[in-house]
Amino acid sequence: MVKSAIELAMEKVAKMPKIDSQEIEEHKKQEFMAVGEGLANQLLKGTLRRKNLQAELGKYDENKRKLVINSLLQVLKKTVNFEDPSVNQLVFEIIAEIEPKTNIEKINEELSLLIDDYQQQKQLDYALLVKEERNRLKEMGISGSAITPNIHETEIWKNKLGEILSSYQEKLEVIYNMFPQS
Amino acid sequence: MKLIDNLYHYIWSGQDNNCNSYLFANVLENGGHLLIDPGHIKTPHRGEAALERLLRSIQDDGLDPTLIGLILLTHCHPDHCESAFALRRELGALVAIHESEAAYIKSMGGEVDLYLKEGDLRLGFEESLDLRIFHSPGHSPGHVTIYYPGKKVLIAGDLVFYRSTGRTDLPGGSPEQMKESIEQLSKLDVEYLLCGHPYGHPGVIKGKEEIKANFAVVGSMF
Repeated sequence: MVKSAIELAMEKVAKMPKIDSQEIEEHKKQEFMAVGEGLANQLLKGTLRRKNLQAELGKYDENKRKLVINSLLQVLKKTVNFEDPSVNQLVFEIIAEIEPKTNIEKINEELSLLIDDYQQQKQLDYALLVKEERNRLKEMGISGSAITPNIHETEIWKNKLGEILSSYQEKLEVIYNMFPQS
Repeated sequence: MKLIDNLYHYIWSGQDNNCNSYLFANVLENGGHLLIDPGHIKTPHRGEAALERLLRSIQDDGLDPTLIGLILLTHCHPDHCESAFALRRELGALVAIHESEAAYIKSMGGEVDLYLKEGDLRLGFEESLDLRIFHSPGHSPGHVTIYYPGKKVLIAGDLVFYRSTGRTDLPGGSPEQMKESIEQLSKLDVEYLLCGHPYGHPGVIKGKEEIKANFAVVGSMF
């Protein structure tokens, strides 16, 4: 007897492993986290206006809203950076929209101090590498006020920059703790 | 071809456009050379093997082209700088240009090791070669010229040619800046004016009076 397509499909489904309730719960969680990431990216790109965020979040019940906000905040944290203050400003404005009671001024102040510190460290380390490079050039027979070594694209500087960023990451975690906790 | 002492000039003689190149021999550690404006690799329209010709000419002068250790670029136009990156890759030569031209170099896939600005450049050790770099915008924002006071040589890039100047209508060019740059350089004591192109003349102008006359002519164009 020739089986129908539906019968074949049902046989295949019957052989598939059963998903337990925990897995179903986890899948749903991932789904709402993806929503949060999507909202964060839209807000950062400007394709979703901040004033429309609450309406978007209002589509979900309390538990799901927490998942969405949590992953939205995770994306915002990763967006905070030491080089572009305008992006950081946007992040704070979005946070203020999510949780108006957050002390944005305090976070901004702490972050500004940290960024100043980071920039100073970067300049010091860069100047040191330039000095070392000047010494190397002198040994090659090249010196004078007309030349400045360009260290920016060298591996040695990129590695150093990575080290500096890593060392400041720990201090940045303290600032993350000042973000709203959903 | 040798000009004076350890300074060599390589006048472009092809059909297509390319620049003149200049070389100071044996000025760096281990006998390394300074090369100024190496030009195109191949010329854009006729595909003339410009770099190959230059390196062969250097070799014909009894110099080892693989010892080019430093390349100074007067500016970022490809007819002056295209070969620099190949030489950097193949020979490990350092490339130097004014910082304001470095972004354009990067957009062409090149790398810059040293930024130039107005000031002194010393090459070598006991018997050093002392050069003065002038920031001479007008043809391009970061155009530099190189003055060798020891022998009164001025390497002018595309600032001035024989009885003419470089263009000021290319991006970043400025007739006002060109005029100021020409005025500044016309005050230098120059016996050899080495131009970036052989337009109507090989581009090696000799003699103080001849050079003064040339500056007077080009200065009057503004």
